[in-house]
Amino acid sequence: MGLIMQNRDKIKNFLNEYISECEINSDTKDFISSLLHLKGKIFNVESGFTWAEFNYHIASLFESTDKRDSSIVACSAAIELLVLATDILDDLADQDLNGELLTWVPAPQAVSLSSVLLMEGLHIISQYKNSQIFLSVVAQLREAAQGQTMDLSFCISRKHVPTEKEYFAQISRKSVSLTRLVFHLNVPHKELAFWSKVADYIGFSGQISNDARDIFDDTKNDLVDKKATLPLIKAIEASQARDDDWLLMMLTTKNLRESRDLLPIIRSYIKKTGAIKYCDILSEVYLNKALLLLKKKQETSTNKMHYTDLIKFLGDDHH
Amino acid sequence: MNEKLWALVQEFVDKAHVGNAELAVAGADLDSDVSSIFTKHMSQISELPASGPLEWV
Repeated sequence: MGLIMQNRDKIKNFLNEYISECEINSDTKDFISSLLHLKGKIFNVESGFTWAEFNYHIASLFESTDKRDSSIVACSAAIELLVLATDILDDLADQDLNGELLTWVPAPQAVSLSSVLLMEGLHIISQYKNSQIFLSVVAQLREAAQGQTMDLSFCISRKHVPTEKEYFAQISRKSVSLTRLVFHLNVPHKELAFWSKVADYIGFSGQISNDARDIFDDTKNDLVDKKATLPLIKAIEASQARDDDWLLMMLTTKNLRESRDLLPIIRSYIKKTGAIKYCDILSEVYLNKALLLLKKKQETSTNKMHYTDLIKFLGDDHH
Repeated sequence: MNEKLWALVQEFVDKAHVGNAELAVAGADLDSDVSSIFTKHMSQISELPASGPLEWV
């Protein structure tokens, strides 16, 4: 815990200083600060996983933290800003107006805020990384942006229920690209093939877990908007086989935004199909795949301690 | 990998009491890295989705 707080404090200090010196108005600074205190963000004391610390741990595997700590801290802060930018766009696209982000920031300000966060994140990276790495980061952000666009239409309908395979292709573009971005920022080019696998496993694990939880979250609109997330896809599959397509009928004949009283019944049904259990298992399987690769790499590493820190950060209590 | 797992999850999710031995036998056909996780999750009774280690928001 002491090491985590030390890393986190360095990143927070950087962000405080950077934001205060940024050429943006004070309202925007206040908004950024508020959003960085939300659940899962670097200034929230209850946050377990934060993207900034994830980047710090990955960077530490490859760079000596003594010599290059300022660069690692700065780029970790940049990652936090970039992901926050994508979070805002995600909530806007999903119209999650009751979600944490858009409760704090009105939609018009959220749009420009997302733009500012994106630019500041890229600016920080450009100060510390060479052009090849910078372009690699931009490529992953492009992938994420294109995935976000496709996500708008990645829904359940009578005409088409996406398959599990299509789901993985979609999240690979939209969400896992952010995990890959962290590795592209830090990993030597010749090792990217190996580390891309680790990135994919971690990304799949996180996104599947996220999607399973969001089914039950009243501030999220995944279910209401019939987003084709894995738990919903599998529940519909089961329903088609066993209950005469009941779930698809419910989703496509009822306006769940207006009939929110149906949500408990639908959630209970989804749970009974085993779809949530399936997602929980799959999420852990993918995480374990990542951890196995890390442990294997650690065996021949001269940086074993940082591998241990990363493995613990990802949730392997047995290491 | 996933099709076998999905079939097994559907088979056992409705059962009130399933022993670890029964789950282990059922999961024997799964990849070794999946089987133990399958047994662990299916022997748990939970109301809400498990909190995955990677709770990113």
